[in-house]
Amino acid sequence: MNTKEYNQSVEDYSGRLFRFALKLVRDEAIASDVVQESYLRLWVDVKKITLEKAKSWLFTTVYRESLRQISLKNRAYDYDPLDQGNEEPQNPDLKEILEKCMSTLPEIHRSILMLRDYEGYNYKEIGNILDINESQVKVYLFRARNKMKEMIRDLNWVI
Amino acid sequence: MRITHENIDEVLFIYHEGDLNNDQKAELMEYLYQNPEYNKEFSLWAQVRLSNQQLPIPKFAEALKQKPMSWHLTHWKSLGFASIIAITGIILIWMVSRQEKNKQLVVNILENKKKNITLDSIIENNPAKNAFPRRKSKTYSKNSLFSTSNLFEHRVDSVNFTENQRMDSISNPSEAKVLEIKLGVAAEIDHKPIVEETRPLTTSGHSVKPAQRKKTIQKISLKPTSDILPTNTNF
Repeated sequence: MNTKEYNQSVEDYSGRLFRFALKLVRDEAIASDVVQESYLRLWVDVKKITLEKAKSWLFTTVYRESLRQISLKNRAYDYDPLDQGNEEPQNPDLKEILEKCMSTLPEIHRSILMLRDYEGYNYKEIGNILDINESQVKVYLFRARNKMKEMIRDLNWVI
Repeated sequence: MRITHENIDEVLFIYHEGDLNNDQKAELMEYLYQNPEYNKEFSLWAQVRLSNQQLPIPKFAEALKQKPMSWHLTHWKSLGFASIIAITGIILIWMVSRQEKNKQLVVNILENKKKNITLDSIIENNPAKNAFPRRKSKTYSKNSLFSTSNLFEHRVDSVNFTENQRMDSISNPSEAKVLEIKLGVAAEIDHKPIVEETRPLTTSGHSVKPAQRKKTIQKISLKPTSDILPTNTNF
């Protein structure tokens, strides 16, 4: 990958990576740090990585870096995703419900959902990015969607 | 695939992931038609998909971009290699041309040797001879002899004209005769210093001591023909 291709990857993927990191770490400053760190590593290895592999490489790096940031954050204070729900409005629309449901999911489920729905990766590609096998991706995705479905059902009953 | 109450969620998940073939889809539709209580489940599974909204490029994206390196930094190895080759080529060409010149000089010297060119003939053929006033009698004074040797050592353009102008001031015929003899001998023998042929005479006709003689000899001896021949083709 040359400098031009690297800059192209910044234009194409930085927004997606930022969203991906933000959903995982739930902090804009940390998410931007994660993305910048990932691009820094990409620049260091820019000669070894081709443009075709850059996207999945970046998502893998962002995912790992996000997990590292979450573990650092959890050491600082006990973080409970369910506490975030208190800030939600009383009549949220479906998008907000999904966002709320997402925040309750484990990182691996969230990552799989985002890679599948936002980026359109297939099971194999998701497995490569997250370093798990294809059947595990299917199982985790089913569990994530099923959990979200149950939460939407419960919220609908409440509303 | 048999759809039952136990696996209906799994089948609905696979359907919304787009992994069912047409037959399986038809089977699921038939099952939902026969079991309408699962229609709500079907719509719930359809909702649990994240919408892929267009994202703006984050503010820090511009800072992440790298400026492309200038071509001379990226190709410094090639440039260095090309420079070395160019310099080596120039040196080789210069050396070859110099060798050719030397070769030509040697050829000229050999040709002149064959033609038995004497100092007198060289002086006669010298295009610069008209620049100097000269006596028709071809009698050279001491001063003119020195100026002549200078002429060939420095190839005309560095000749000291003031020395030649003294030529007219010669008054002693015996002195002129001695120098004429010396010059004649020097012109006839190639590559032999005039020292061997000259007598230990001074311009005043007195005998000299060996030390003085040596000094005098050095002063009036001529260089070998090869050294005094002009290299300039226009000469």
